[in-house]
Amino acid sequence: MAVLELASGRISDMAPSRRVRPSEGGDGDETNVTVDDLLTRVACGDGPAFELLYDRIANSVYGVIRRVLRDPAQSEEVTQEVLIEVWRFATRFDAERGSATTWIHTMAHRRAIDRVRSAQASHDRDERVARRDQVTAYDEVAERVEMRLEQQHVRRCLEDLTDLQRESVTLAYYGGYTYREVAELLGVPLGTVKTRMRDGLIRLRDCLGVTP
Amino acid sequence: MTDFDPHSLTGVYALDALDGAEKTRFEAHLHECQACRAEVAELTETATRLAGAAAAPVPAELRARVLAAAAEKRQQSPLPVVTAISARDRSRTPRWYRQPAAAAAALLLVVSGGLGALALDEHQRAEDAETMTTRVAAIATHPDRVELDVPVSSGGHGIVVAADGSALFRTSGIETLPADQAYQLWILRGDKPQSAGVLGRGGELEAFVDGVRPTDALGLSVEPAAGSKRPTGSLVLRVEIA
Repeated sequence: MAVLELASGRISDMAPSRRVRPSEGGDGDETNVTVDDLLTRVACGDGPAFELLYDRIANSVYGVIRRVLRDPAQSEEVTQEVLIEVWRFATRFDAERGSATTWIHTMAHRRAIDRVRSAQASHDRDERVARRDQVTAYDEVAERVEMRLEQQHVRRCLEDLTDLQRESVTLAYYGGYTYREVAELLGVPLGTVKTRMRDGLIRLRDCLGVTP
Repeated sequence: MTDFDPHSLTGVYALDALDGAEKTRFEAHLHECQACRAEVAELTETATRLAGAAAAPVPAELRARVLAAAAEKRQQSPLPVVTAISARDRSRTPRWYRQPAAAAAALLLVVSGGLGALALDEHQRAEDAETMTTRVAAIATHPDRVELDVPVSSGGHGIVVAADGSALFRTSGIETLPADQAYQLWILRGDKPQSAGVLGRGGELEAFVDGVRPTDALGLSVEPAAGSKRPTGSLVLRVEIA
């Protein structure tokens, strides 16, 4: 019996990578390319690399935007904007500041948040609180659609947080609320929410094995 | 807000939950505070894992629209202060970025993010890893694979993905053992457990196990650092493959 042990290590572009099927590799080589490599090639104007990059990240980009915005049509629109920005600004990606996956997801999340906040300027409080109840409903849908290991892993790590940490983190990240709004929704002091968000992320970081 | 304390806002900022003047002030502070930048980078990376976990099938028609639109857009020139990665810059990136087999992990990162850390300095090892990478990918994407997630009795949990006589094992959040102890993985078959390797003291441990039968179980026990021939302690995890 052959047994090979694998050292533990970082896992940063796990999410988009897992979306690649062997058949998408064509000649078999391209599946071996990292998101970082692809983005580097895209920065040099490589169109085919952009297609491959699209296939690797589109679902997670769309997924997170949809989580925040909920509305499919708007989510699609923002996803398109973000992905085109990835093409346009690939030249400005700096690998020393983090992974390509993080760069892309950060951009996606921020765009979704921007959209929510500008739209919310005209919404009233009640409507916004109603949105909170939809978080669970969409969770269930997402759970049916995608329940692969990364999700299980993240979910499990989220379960390891205290209730307040978890609610603070997910209301902010998936719900798109500011920390002041989160404090209001949860009925806790601002300072508490600040620390719960930080502590929650630190705990999540350790559980997920994110290394600096 | 009068008591502006930037150091407590790193998590809030990483979650994009800061806005208005407070955000501007915090960003100004970031320019001056290396420790804050480091913490924000780390927490942002953590937060974006939540994005990966939210993946949902993107409408198929979007692909053609995005590709067509991109083809018509001119790319921005690199900012002078922010270098695009080049071959030269990449030599400064963490080692795992440069490992071809780590990339191969495209698929296997599904289950096995840690593969990127394989030591591949020597050519031979690289070849071994590549072979293994292919095999791991085959398991991770096998249509009939079994995916199991079970708790470890002393804390944390273990994930097993098995297909075609092989299994990937990975732990998450398990208790770190003292220096003289280690977790050892076992194939439990009848009354003869076979060692599948001493994995380490804690954290995210991984193993690729070959020759697994559907009737086998995997077990994890705490052993002396050098490992044991048979499990000496009680199992902290036991999982039936079938």
